[in-house]
Amino acid sequence: MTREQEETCIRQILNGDVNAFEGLVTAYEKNAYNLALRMLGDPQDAEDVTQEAFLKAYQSLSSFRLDSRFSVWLYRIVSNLCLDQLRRRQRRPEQSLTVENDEGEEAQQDVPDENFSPEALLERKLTREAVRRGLDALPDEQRQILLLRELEGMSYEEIGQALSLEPGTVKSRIFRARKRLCVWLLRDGNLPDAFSSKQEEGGVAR
Amino acid sequence: MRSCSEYQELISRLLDEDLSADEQAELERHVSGCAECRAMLDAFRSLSGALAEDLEEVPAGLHESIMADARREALRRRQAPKRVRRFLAMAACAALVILAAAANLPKLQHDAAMLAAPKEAASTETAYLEAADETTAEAPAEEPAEAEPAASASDRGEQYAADDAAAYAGAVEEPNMPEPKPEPVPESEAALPAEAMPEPEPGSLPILGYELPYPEPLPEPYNALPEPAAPEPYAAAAPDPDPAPKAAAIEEAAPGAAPGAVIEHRVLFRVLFLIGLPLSGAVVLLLFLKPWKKHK
Repeated sequence: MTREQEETCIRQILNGDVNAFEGLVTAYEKNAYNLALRMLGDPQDAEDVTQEAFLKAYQSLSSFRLDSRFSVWLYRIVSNLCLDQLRRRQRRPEQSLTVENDEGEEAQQDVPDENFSPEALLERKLTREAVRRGLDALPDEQRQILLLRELEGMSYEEIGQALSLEPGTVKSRIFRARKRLCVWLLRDGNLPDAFSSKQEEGGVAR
Repeated sequence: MRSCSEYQELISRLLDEDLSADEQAELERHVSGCAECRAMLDAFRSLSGALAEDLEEVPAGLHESIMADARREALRRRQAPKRVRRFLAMAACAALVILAAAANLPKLQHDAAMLAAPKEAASTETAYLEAADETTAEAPAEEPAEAEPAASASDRGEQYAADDAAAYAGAVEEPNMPEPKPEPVPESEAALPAEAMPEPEPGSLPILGYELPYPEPLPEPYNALPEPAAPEPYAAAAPDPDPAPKAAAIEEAAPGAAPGAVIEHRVLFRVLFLIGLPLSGAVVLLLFLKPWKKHK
């Protein structure tokens, strides 16, 4: 959806045409849902948050200034709702879904290792499941910023606007998140050896 | 020269297309000579790919739920102002009905008094008074206007005045209605206590004239009300500690004095009616038809 189409849509909605909202929902529901899913790691929670985010967007659409993309604004709502949800989970730790016992404990203490070897990472197979768990092991803010960049393709400037951060902070935070994720993936058991299933990579990663 | 750690941040920014041409050239020079940073570039690249690929499909029903939320919200927003408008329209309708009743009650009562037997006339009056009470209940601030004549009622016409004022008080709901100023009767054509009697602006009287359909004074049967049998009209509204003097006062009421008051009030209500009816009608029309709103 181009900026012009977006603007037309939004003006129609603000004029009372609720059906015009469907265009925006169709265009962004998938990305919004996947952002929530990767932030939260739970499909039901992700669905709830996505629904809530769209309702919030609809309710406060009149306050949306057309100087940014609608998607940027929407993903910001989604990711903030996700952070709220994660904070609520922390207050009720028994409901935490992000970590399994043996790996989770370690993940909490994970500190980026300055001497890790990126070559080792390339020798292993990046499975979808491993990347998911690696994301879950990141601190919430790092996961949020990395997903806004990688999943939603937001620019540093847009992320800075959405999260009220300086551009320099955005750059270094994204870098630290990437590095930390690499380090986590290199830990024993987090990635299978590349040799074992090299030819499957395309299929599994689909 | 930068450290490898600094180059690695450049690698991150390279993937995000944030490097200037100079920075990019510098990074490429470094990466070609540094195996670790080259591996880092590849690692970050494959990670980026893994993060962005294979998006899950949206769960079935989510799209519909989102749209249902939006439609509900849109409906709620449309109905909020509608509820207010509906209430205002109802209020305007009520004002209209009360106004019409107020304008016609003196006439109706007159007819009843003319035609009916004394006892029936009395019950009509009671009903009328009760109706008037109901209307005044809506405007308690106007109570003195009713209470005062009730206390010092010395003539039948004045009771009309009280009743009319009460009925009128109910009709004052109409927001734009000009406030009538109680004025002493200038002509003093009748020997009646003028101070309690509201009267329309002198200027409006000639327009409407005095040609009233019921110029008759109060009919005989009315004055001959069997006092003990007739329900004391004000007993319900304002319990009178001593009804006997009042009854005597009513009996004293000269037939010649009452007609003047009745006529004045009929004129007053005609004026009120003629002003109030179009006003209420306009309010109702405006609220229901909403001519200010563009129809799609």
